[in-house]
Amino acid sequence: MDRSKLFGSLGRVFALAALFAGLGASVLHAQSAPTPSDPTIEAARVRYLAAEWPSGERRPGFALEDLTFAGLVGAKVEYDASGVSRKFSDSAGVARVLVELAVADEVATAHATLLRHLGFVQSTKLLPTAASRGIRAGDLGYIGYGGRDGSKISWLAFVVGNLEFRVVDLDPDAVGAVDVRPIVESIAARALALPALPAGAPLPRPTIERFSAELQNVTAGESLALEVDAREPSGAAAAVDFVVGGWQQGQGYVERDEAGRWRFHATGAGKVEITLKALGRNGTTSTRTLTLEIAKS
Amino acid sequence: MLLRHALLVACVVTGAWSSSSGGSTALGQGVPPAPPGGGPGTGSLQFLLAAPTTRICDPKLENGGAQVQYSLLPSANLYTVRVTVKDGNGLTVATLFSGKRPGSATQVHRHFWDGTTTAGSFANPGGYTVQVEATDYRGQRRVLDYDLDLVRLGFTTITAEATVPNNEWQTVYFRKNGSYTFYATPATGEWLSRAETGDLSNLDRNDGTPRPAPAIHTTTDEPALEFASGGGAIYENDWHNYPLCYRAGAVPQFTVKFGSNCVRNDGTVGACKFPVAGYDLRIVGVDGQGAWTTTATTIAPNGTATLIGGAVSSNATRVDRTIAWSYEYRPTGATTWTEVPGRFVTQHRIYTILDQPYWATGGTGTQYSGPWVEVLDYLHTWQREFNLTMDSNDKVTEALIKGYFGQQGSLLTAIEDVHYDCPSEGGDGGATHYGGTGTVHLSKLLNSHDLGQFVNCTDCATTTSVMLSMLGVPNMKLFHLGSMTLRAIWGIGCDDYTLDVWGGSHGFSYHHIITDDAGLTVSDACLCVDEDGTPDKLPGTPGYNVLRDWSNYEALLAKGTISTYTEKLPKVD
Repeated sequence: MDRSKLFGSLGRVFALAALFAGLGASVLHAQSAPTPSDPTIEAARVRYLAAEWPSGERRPGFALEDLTFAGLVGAKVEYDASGVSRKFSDSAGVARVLVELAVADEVATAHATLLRHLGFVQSTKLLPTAASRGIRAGDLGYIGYGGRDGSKISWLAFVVGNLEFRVVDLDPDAVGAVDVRPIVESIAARALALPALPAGAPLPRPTIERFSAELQNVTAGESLALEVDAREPSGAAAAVDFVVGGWQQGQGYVERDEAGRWRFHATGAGKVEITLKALGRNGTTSTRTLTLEIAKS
Repeated sequence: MLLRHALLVACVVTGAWSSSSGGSTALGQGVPPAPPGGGPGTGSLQFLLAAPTTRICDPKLENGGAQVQYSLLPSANLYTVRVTVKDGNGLTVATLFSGKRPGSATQVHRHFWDGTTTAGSFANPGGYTVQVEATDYRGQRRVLDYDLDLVRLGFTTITAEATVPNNEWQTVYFRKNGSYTFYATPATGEWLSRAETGDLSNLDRNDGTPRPAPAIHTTTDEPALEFASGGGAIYENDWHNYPLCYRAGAVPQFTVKFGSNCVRNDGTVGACKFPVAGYDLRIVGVDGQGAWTTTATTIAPNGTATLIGGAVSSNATRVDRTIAWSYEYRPTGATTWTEVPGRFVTQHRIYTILDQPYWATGGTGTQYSGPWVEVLDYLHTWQREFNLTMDSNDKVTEALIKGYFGQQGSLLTAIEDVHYDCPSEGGDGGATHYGGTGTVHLSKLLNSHDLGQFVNCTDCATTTSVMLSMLGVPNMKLFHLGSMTLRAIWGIGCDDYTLDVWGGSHGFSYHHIITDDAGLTVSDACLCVDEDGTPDKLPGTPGYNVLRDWSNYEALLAKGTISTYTEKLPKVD
């Protein structure tokens, strides 16, 4: 195919592309607001009358780790670019339910996250609210019905102040599928019971007391010790994770050694950034980055 | 006849040797002396003649050892021959032959020492003498002594490089013992075989046998792991063989690092005993693409040598190459190299991509270190399935879009057995599960659809755009389509075409596809359009959306005009 011949016929595409230049999907971290001018989000804002949504009180995060449901076993809490999530499996080990959480600083950001869940639905049908089906889902929730007959709740996304949850039934038609309604209501009740944050008070996050390397230079193939001290708002040690990346070819990974100390193992020469992520139980994270120079072996 | 025999021997002997007759010894190298004395029957006849014999050997190489050769002058009677190997103290460590041998003008007698002693263990590196004793029917005794240096040759590390910058990339895994953790194959030492805690030597096992070459790591989602004594898994950093990724057509360069010690037959650690004084020593390799060559003429323990191999495939594909490494020596200053008997074989998996990986602006983390092994391997699988010669970005796109959708030939399902999330599949009305937040969770999709089996268009578009980009297809972006009334479509993973995708309505509130030319041509792995000429009726005829002319795609997908705009390539985790 001579693809160059097609340029003349698609001026309309170019015009629209130019109109929306830079409006693409943006990264949504647990505490960051999505791009407000995302057309998909804006369309959802209008369709779902988001300007009229109730604005609940802010909560100091939410610990997915504390959730327990009868007959289900919770897996480790996962942290990724979207927030935190935790999967629950039945006694046979079959994953049944996924609980996703995004903890925002502000209620508006949690609403934007809910809008994103609603906006990126391909169906032309407007999703019903949880309240309209008698489900107590925090300040506001919407239901994605599924299953082959469309009668089962496939997912339910809801907000409690600055917390946005989505509870997903991983296979609503499967034998042994669980009813997510009590799970949603349990989570919502637990979130609503959390003490509200005073107006203007910052969202509690883990703190990084110390993050340093024993040396600033290392040779590829070797390792060096990292000093790490991250704390929960309570003062307890926080779980941590590491992101290794940078501007150039520097490579490596971080692991605990047999003595339990964190070590950076250099595997490729160049400048490298090591970012420490303190993973708060309440779904928030804090980060700090250090830079190392890795010499060629 | 005698003269012809002597010349033949003189032309090929390369080792140092000595001969003795009745107690006198003559030393020489390369050219044996002419038989002393007169013709047959005289007491001083040198009836035992030197022939090419190994000067440097490493019995721990595959088929390694020393080739011992000599010839005997023609005689009506058999000679009594004894071939032994003596250590530096003159003690016999092995007897290679003891018996009768005929003399012949053309026959060269050969014996091979596999490097083991009479006790059955490998002889230790060091200087040895191979002694050939021949006695004729009259009791005349002649002796040839060949010098032999037994060394331990081997390497611990192979680092893959490119002869041109930006032609070689590390590959990435996304799992670690059940968790999502990214790992890039090491840039220094993709192939590694060295001592770990408890090992005495970096070339041999503790029982003295050579450490075998690590096999290619064929798992595509998780790197090589070992279990720490304190519990939990850690990355294996002593013994692994990771796949490589080169630009198609690139000339690969390997730098090998030589080991420095071995295990002696008493269980202690010993030196490798090379270089050998007076000799150059080099490493060479050969595989299906020809020779791996080096300009280095001397190697040493802990040293390195860099070799250039034959070019990798000029297409995007996966090729396993088996390299037979061997060593050669020559007297310093000589021009002709002689092979050290034996070889060491390594295997290497090489993925090729047509261009450098492309990523979303601002992406930071190990996942951006190079193409992911699982994605590279998927492409290879799909290339074979569709019998495509992957010599252009368009072909790469075709393989990926068709393979991702699957459901053709031996591809019974879509990628990772995902299903479009319409009600007929039990889905949830088209919600995004993997890719709607600016960062697409590709690792979770590739991990047996860990966020659920249902996907929508954004999941498909974000994952395919990122996969194609990391495979070197440039300018790949999301293409956002506005609301539309659909014609017949076949959703990914679904059984058939439908004209009622949502159970009572048949349209999209939006649709995500991908483009690398701002929408002139588009690709869509989420669905097939109907190409039977009646796209508003069932049944449908499959039509993969690979680089379709936009106007053709638009006409087959939906009724009326669709609004569009281009979005950025998403980040990935």
